[in-house]
Amino acid sequence: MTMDASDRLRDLLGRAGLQASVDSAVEFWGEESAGKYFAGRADLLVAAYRAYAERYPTASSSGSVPRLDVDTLEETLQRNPQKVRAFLQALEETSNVGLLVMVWRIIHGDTIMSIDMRYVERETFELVIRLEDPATGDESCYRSQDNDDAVLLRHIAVMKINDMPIFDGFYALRV
Amino acid sequence: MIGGEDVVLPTLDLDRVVATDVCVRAIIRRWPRAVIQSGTTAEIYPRYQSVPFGEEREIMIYRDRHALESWDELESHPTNHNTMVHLLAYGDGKMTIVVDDANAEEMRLLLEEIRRAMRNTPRVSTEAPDSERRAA
Repeated sequence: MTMDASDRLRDLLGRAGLQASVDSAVEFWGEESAGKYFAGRADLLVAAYRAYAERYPTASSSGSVPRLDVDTLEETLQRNPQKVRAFLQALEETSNVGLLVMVWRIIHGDTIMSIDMRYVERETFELVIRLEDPATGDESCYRSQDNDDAVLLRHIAVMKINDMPIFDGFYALRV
Repeated sequence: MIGGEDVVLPTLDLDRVVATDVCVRAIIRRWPRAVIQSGTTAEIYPRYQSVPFGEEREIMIYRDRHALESWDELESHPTNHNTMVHLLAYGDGKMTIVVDDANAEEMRLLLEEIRRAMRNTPRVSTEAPDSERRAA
């Protein structure tokens, strides 16, 4: 991954309203280390793109859920800035490629069918999230055993429909 | 919508784009066969993910295809009352939701679910992206 991709990601973060996040990374690590950090995130985005393309080979910008890459994020920024912001925050919060695919799917309308979380202090953590594509009924499952990934749950809106529980959507947090 | 009842909901510190997104998601969870239409161009969006929330300030959501056809043919009529919701998002801090009868059971539940969803949605950055600053 070249630094070009890293710079492009930093530029995208800024244009998505997340410049404060870039600035705080530079302040925290210094410019050189922050550059490596963003290069790592750009690499992660490429990995997520590949994982997404493998799992959803028919995804396209004109189809149901678009591809997952920088070009699509830039295209989406004008029409749906809130989705780009939410995804970029997830990109900063997790290194789990599968969970990034999951976030992209939720942002584009997949239904969260179930969330199972198991935690035992100093022993184990497991997060399992099942989604359903409302258009096709296809289900998908995403897992993590890293409790750092629990931060992603903060982005999900809490609702009730007919007084029954609903977790829905994936939204950006205040920076 | 001509006629109907305007319900103005505070969106707290959700920005306009996110508040509209949350409203649409809450409504389509209640109406899974909903049809979404632009309130300005009348374009029908085939899916939730087709809606350009960053560009739309008015959205109509019909309970289903039959409701859309009825509104197209009859406009507001007793036979299609409470089968369409009109969202108007012309500024941060509030969302105007036009319904036929806010006291009808279906609409009362729907509005309560939207209120709850907005209250429980994670709060976004207060820093507007370039695209929104240009549009302002």
